[in-house]
Amino acid sequence: MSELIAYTVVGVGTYFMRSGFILTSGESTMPPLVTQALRFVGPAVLSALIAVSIADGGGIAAFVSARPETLGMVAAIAIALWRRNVILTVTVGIAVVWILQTVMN
Amino acid sequence: MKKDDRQLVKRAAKDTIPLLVGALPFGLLMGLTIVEAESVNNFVGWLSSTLIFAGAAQIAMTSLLGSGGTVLLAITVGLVINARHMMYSAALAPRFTTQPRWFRILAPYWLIDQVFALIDTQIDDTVSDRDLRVYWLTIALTFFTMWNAFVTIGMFLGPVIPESWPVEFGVPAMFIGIVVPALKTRPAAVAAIVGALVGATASPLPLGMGLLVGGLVGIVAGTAADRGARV
Repeated sequence: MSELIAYTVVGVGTYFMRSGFILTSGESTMPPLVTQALRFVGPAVLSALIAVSIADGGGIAAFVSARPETLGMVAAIAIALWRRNVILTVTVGIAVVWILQTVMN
Repeated sequence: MKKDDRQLVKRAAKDTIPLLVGALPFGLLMGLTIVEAESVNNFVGWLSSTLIFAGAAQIAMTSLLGSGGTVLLAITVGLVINARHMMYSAALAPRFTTQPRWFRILAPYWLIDQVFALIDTQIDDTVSDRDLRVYWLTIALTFFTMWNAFVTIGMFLGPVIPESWPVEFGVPAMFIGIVVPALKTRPAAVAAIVGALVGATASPLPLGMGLLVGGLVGIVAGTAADRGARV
């Protein structure tokens, strides 16, 4: 029962975080600086999400060292730029990490 | 359904499939986490996909509740991990000013990372309100259905994926596949690089707060680069 309460509270909270600005949009105009900044939410937040996942709690040292995950990220970025294909990026990325983990361990 | 709608639905489906490949192992892991969390009722754990619909928060909360964590701690963890959605909401708000009320109420329920990433990179600001709704609802309902399916499969199959497979790399890899080709301006690239470096540096912070710190500093850096470029 207490688990259901926890999930429900977070679910309701998450809905309000997801809907807040969308529901109130149009009621006031945003300052130009904010509008300008909002264009960088995508690149900044999604890149941070990628980096946090790759660093896996190891900080910048883990992120830039020659670990399979970091090298897999470099391979995935190269494929993404070259072929612009998400499935290929995911497949090559996982394959590179798997091979390097096998070889390096 | 109009012919234009059908084409848009097809395009939305085509954009969604690669992301499902990245989400599959994540969903299976969520299913496994529910079954392994003995103090969490399986049905209640499964219901978290409908109640919360955010994989990272669901996994963190379920493993915490399963290992004796308090409800208050689980709630705090879930809310902090999901705080990034406020930035998605703010970023997409300008596209909602002329949308009907029902869509403004309903659409944010499905505003997950993947939906935000696809809308931000694949749908430009000039698209009609109706087309945005068709595209949004198609990808949202596909993700919602498939996420629930993946979690269910994970609960029944258990640990089917060999531990040596680096499936956790699927999530960052799919976002690399969407974000990197979409970095078309220098300020956007600055935002991405700074966001990644600061995010990695702050990654030891608890509750996934590194993501928020990296994201916010990246936004500031991108904006500064944009203003610098215009002066």
